[in-house]
This record gives sequence, C-alpha cells and structure tokens, in this order.
Amino acid sequence: MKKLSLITGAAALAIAGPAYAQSDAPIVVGSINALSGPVVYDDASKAAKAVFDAFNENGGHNGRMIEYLIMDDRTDPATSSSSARDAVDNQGAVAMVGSMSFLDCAVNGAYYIDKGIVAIPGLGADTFCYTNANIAPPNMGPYLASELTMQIATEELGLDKICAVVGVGGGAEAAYREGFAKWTERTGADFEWIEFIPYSAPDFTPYVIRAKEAGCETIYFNGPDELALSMMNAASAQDAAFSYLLFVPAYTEAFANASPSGHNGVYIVSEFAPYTDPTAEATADWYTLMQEKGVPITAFSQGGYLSATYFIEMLGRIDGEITRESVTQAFKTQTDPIENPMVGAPYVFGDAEMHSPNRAGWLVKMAPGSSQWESVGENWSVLADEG
Amino acid sequence: MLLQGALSGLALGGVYAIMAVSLVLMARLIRVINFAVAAVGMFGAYAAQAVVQVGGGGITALICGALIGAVISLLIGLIITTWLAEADVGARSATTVGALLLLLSLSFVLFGTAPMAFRPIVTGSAFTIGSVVISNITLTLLVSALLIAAAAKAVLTFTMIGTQLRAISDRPITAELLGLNVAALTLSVWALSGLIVTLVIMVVAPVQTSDASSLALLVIPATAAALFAQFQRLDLALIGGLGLGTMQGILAQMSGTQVLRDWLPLLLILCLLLWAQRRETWDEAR
Repeated sequence: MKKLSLITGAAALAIAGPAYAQSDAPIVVGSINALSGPVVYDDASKAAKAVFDAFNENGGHNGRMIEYLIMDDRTDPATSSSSARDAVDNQGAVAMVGSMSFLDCAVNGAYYIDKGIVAIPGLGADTFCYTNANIAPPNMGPYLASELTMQIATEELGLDKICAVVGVGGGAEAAYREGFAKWTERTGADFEWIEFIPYSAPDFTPYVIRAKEAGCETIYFNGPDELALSMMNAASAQDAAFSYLLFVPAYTEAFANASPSGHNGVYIVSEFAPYTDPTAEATADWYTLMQEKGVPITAFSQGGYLSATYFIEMLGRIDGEITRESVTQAFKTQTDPIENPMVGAPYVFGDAEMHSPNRAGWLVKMAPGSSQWESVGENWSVLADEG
Repeated sequence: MLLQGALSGLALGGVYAIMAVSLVLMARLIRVINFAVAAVGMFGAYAAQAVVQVGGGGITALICGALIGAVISLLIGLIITTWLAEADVGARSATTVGALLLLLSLSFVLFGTAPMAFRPIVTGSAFTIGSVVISNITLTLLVSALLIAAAAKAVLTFTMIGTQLRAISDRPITAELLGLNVAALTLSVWALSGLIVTLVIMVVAPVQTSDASSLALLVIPATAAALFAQFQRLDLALIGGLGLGTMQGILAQMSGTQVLRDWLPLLLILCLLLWAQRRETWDEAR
C-alpha cells in the first residue's frame, strides 16, 4: 500500500511537474501539425513560433519564456493522438496554439475537454474544430467560408447562374450542404446544379461542358489551387469563359501567375485581411514579423500568427501563476474581446459549447484578363446571422 | 446531352486508348503487363515540371521529361530482361507493380505530395460539334491514339522489325539462336512506351487532377481497355479506351452518378474477367 502511494505520488509529481513548476520555468505550449505525409501545412506553426520567439526576445511573460512544441501528426490518427498526449501529459503544455492539422480536432477534441486544456488552432480545417467547447480557431473554416462566399456572390457581386463542383472527403458533404441550404433559405438563390466529387476525380472537362450547357456563368469550386488551375485550364480549352468562386488556398501569387487569362473574374473570400498588398496597414505587423523570421506570406501564416497573438494577449490578462487551469479559466471566462485589424470580427472564446468567433471575410478578386489579386471594397463582409 | 457527354470524355478516352495499346503491345511482344506504364509517364511529367521550376524553357522541359520517362521505362525493362528472362508473365508483371509503388514514393520524396500545377502544352479549341468545343487537347490525343494504334499494327504486320518482334514473342530462344538481338529490340519497346506515355500525360495533366497517385492510377482504366482487347487486339484496345472515356464523360453529365463514374473501370475489369472465365468449369478454373 505504501509502495503504491509512493508510486502514485511520484507519478502525480511527474505529471504535475512541468505545468506547476517554479515561476521561472518555461510556459509550455503545444501544437499538432501536418508536417509530413499526404499533405504538408507547416506555415501556421512557423508563424506561431515567430510570434513566440519575438515575445521571448522581449523578456517573455514576467521573465518566463514560452517553450513552443511543434509536433507532427503525419495526418495519421494514431500519431495525432499520441502527439497530443505527449504534449499535454508528458511535456505539460498549458494550451495548444497554432496547430494546422486535418485530424487534431476530430481525434483529440474529446481529450482536450477531458484534460481541461484549450486549443486555439492556427486554422480549423473541419467541422470538429467548430463544435467543441475547448477549441476556437481564428478563421471561420471551410463551411462558413463557403456559405459567406455564396452570400457575397449573390448579394454583393450579383452573380447568377452558378454551378458548383465541390470536392469532399470524409463527412464534409453534409456540412457543405447545410451551409448552402442556409444561403438558399436566406437569399432564395440556388445553384443551377451542384456535384460533390472526390478530390481524385480524374477529369474536369465534362464538368466544364456541363456547366456551359446548363448556361452557367459562374463556377464555384472549393479545391486546392492546383486543381482550380486544372478546372480553369479545362474551361479555357473549351473556349468557355466563366467567373470563378474559389477557396482561400488559391489566394496566392503563384496561382495568379499560373492561371489562364480566359476568365470573367476570379473571386475569393479571404478569411483574414488581404495580404497581397504589403503596404496595407492591417497586415503590417504580421508582414514585418514574417519577413524578419523568414516565414512564408500565406493565409496559413496569418492564422498561426493570430492564434499565437491571441494567446499572448490572454496571458497578460491572467493574474498569478500561469498554469493549464489558469489559462483555461481565462479563455473560458473571457468576455472582453480581442481586436486585431487582420480579422473582421473580434476574438472571444468564452464558455459556449461551440465556437466560431470569426464570421467575416474580405473579398479579393482577379479581374478578367489580369493575373494579379486586388482587394475589393473597403469593408469586411459579415455572414448573416442564422434564423 | 449524350453526344455532349461522349465528346467531353474523348480526351481522357484517348489517354486510356494510348496506354491500352501500349499495354497490349507489351503483353504480346515481351510477355509483361506493365502496371507502371502511367507511373512512368507521371514521373516524366513531374520531372519536366521540375525543369520548368528551375528556370528551364518549355521545349527543354518537354524533351527532358520525355527522355526521363523513356530511361525509367528502359531501366524497368532492363531489370525484367536481365533477371526475369525465363520467368512467367505473373512474375514479370509483379515487378512492374513494384516499379509503380517505387515511382510513386520517389515522386512524393522528390516533388512533394501536393498536386502539381502544370502549364498547358496544348491550348485552345480546334472546332465545334453542336455546342461542344473539341479542344486541341482532345484532338491531339485522339489523333495520337489512332496513329499509334495504326503505326503499331503496320510495324508488326509489314516490317522486318515487326516480324522479328513477333518471333521474339512467339519463340524467344529460337529467335535468339537465329541471331536476333532480342535484348535490344525488347528494350527499345520499353523505351518507346515510356516516351510516348510521358508525352501523353504531359498533354492531359493540366486539365485534370494532377496529383501523383491520380496520374499513376490512370493505369486502371487503361488495363480495363486492354482487358477488353484480351491483351491481343490493338483495334479493340483503341475502341475500349475511347469507349470507356466517353462512357465516363456521359456519366459526368448526370447528377448522382459520380460513384458509378469512378468505379466504372473496376466494374468493367470484374465483368471482363468473369466473361473470360465463362467456359471454364469450376475445377479447372481453379
């Protein structure tokens, strides 16, 4: 019995050790990322690290440095789970910040609730990132973003006759359908046709011809930039000129340079302030830091930067020791929002059962014949309230 | 709508047909079902794109890519000719599955796992049938498929090389004893197949899903078309490839048939295999 209690005591010390260490010990922050495997997204964690490095260089939190763990989940559920447990149980992370993984929320969401730890991913990639009491990403995620894209297409751009090709994997189809249904309900608009395809569908030509035949003037496509290019090339080969409503990954200089010129405008709703204009005030701080630390200038690094910035802001609001409990308590009881010019809606975590604090986007477009992104309008577009 | 769908699938049908012709030729002449045929093309096309990315011109990249495709195919051929000369079709074909997996992994390592943004080589439209524009890509692939099938048939039937190739396939040892350079002839078939398929993939990749796996697995519909030709007849391989492409094009015009469209090649393979077994009694077939 005595032996058992010794072991339990030692184990308790070992677990509690890093998180409740003396006040000069580093504050451990974890992140789960797709760093190898079928998809690689490392910009978000690089950006978060840049923010934390700058914070440490300026003295940290009352002399305590932030130790940032960048862990790989290889887009493999077992690795995702063991990486999260390593960060939280073994290394004593007080929060998960700046993650960019396709599995983290789905695989580790329940574990984060169980452990009483909050996660502020760099970007939320699936519906599980927006339906968990302990997770609140700074971006609005693919489903709200596509709903907002359609709202803007109908109400601001006045686009009509839209065909949709939606690449889906896993349970994404239902979530997309739900978002589009809300758009239809609110605006009365609907697609000429909508087709859900696996990303591995071979050839875009039949869809382009079908869109042309149905009299569509605009094609909505949510695929990554390379596939969006294939779609546009297929249309171009058919002498068909459409407008395109595309997704954030295509909002890059590389995409703009590679896209064929025969289109009637390409529109993307950026979840953060447009970054293709380096002189813009809203993105200046982020842009300077990313350049200084050699982090790529992408929407993903904007997300990582924001999540780390929010975390540091919340640290400053905590009186007393920084522990997992005090950090979670601070986020869960947050009522005073954090403003940042890079997003259209202030960030609030709070005690809700699910969070999607960001419901605003900024329209960027590539004019017909142009191969440069430009910002449209002077204001954020906000997703209409439900109901 | 049927015509429109059928025409929209012609480009991909052309790709299937060219690969199917290549598969049939290799099965007949060098006793191998080359499952790596599309992977070789994918790798060559990716290598060409890499040349563009480091600043190479379009023509340089095209030539480099095609040569790399040819050399890789040649190497696979060399391995099979050297070490599996006497092996049966199954063992020789299994080697190409290994090559397929190796090329996929190598492409992930060298070029990353994201789809590649290909610059179109062939652009614009050729002419219009009804409301469907026949693009230059479709025309190029269709004409190439017809020419390649016709040329292969002509070479095999009317030329000395064709006779020699058929001799090698029918009686390899006799052919060798008669002084034919079996290795050189066999390897040239491998290299030519790699070259042609790489060019084809470079033409079609800019308008379709361009990740390494999707491109390498174009071998599945091509195999279905070759199976339709029973790995014997070039004309049926051509018809099979074009037919499969047009069927997929038609299915893409209708809502809710996506699953069928993607599974069509596999269903076709299953049906053809069952059909091929129709006269077998249970015991013998095993």
